[in-house]
Amino acid sequence: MLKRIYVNNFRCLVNFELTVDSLNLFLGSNGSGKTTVFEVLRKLQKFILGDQAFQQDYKVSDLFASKDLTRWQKSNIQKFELDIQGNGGIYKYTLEIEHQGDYAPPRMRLESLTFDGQPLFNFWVDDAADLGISVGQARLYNDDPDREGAFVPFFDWSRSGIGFIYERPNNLKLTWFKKRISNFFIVQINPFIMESESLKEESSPNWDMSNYAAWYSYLSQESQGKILKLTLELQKIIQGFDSFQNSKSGDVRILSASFTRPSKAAYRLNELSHGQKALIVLYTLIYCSPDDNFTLCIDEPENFLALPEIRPWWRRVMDYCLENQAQVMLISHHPSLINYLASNSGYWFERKDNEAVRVRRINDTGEEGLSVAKLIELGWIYDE
Amino acid sequence: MTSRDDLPEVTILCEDIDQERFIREYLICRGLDDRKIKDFGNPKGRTIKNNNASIVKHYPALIKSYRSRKYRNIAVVVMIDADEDSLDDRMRSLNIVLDETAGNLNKDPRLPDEKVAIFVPARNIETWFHYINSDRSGQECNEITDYKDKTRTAKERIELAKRSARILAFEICPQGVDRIALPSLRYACRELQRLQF
Repeated sequence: MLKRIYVNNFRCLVNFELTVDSLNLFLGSNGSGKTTVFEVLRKLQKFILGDQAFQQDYKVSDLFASKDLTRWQKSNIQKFELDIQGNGGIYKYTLEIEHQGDYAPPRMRLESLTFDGQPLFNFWVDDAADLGISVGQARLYNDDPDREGAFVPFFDWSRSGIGFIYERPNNLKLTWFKKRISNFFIVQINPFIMESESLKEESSPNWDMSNYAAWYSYLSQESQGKILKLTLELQKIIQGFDSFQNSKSGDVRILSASFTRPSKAAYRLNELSHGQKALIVLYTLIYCSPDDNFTLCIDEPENFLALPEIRPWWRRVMDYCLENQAQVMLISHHPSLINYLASNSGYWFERKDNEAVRVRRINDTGEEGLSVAKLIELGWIYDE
Repeated sequence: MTSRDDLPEVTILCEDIDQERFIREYLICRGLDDRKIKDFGNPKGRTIKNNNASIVKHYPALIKSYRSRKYRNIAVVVMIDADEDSLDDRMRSLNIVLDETAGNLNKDPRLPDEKVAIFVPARNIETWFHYINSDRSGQECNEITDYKDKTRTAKERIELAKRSARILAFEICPQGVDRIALPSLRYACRELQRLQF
């Protein structure tokens, strides 16, 4: 699981370091940088893996724009670090992006991956003073810590080097890392744009879940057992719900939900209420996630949900994390989640005078007084 | 066909997630539907040294609302650690806040037909966990020692609570309440008889 994230010079994140656990609730006022952390994770995931849903690779310039440099900083270098625990050790991924003003695209200055200190991949820039130019250098290592890395000539520093490395029998450590990065599901559910039609199967959901039907098409082919579990759970949650149908109509498939009560009827996904769509997505994220080692990052999951639905969903998430070595990071403003989670898993994001984000664990141990949600509502939490 | 709306429903008022998961898992083992078990919620969401004052505070309001709809198939389970007091002291303080006159006369103001069960682990829920997970001879577990392990993570606490509930439901309770050596747990098992659905 993700243990630590470090970001410098990206929007409001300056020398920002956050150590996380398996269950995490991000709290803070609007504009305090919570969603920005998710955006960094999304960018790094896309940079390393490309967009799996659309089978698209990304250049540095596609993801890292100079407008995302912290406005009050003078440096043109952005730095990102991830520490990920797994595979029996700790992976450290580091990326530095150099912005070159309006007339040249941004480029990588450094990309490295280590496992328990053992290098797996390293890219850096050599300033060849005699030639007056900078040269990108890369070295690729394999699983054997005693073997020297192989020099990679003519390295393209506009893209992630790790993203280009294919799985081989002797680089399983590196490919484990890539698989783990693909197991980050970072979403902000927008039921308004969830369509019923899908042209093809897509192996992962979009940030906004607009491609839910296409993702469902993929899951129904690849993970039938999980879809069955999801269906049985949704029967308990959504009154009268029976099952999904994903039938072919011309070139597309149309995802519908069948209901048995008050009479048998099918409704296309986009005909369901926003709350029902959000429920379907939230339970799909639990039941159809990978079998283990995954991270769910959900921005305001409670939006659109009826009050009695929030806690049962959260309990399911906790159980799933418990059973599957999974991790969850939520951003929420809902008192129900805050009061339930803040004492053990809460992180308070704040920006004094609009400056850089600071984060602290919530560890209020007062005997008396108001609930955490009430303290937040009144602006009394950490108001010293 | 039975509607899900007709299934019995239980609301849990308790101090923390350890208690909530223990009660929930036990009720599931006894055949209740997970989604029909609602928790009142740790009213503060804070790590506080003792949360029992908030239980005493919310108990009367919860019971008053329960009484106005007890024609429905609903029940209430309350759990409050005895901590440094006795089981009787805790019961008495709940009785007084619900009905001061009855409570001061050491009478239980709950009516016989009210499905309201009160569990008072002594010294606390960790005492029950310790007893349930030990050999249960009663020799190694007492209600004075504090068995709380503050180094446990939330995951470990939930796991322990659920495992303890399953052992209680499937291994201990079938042997008969009288064989339970821990007095506060024995008392709680008798309280359970109030929840006949």
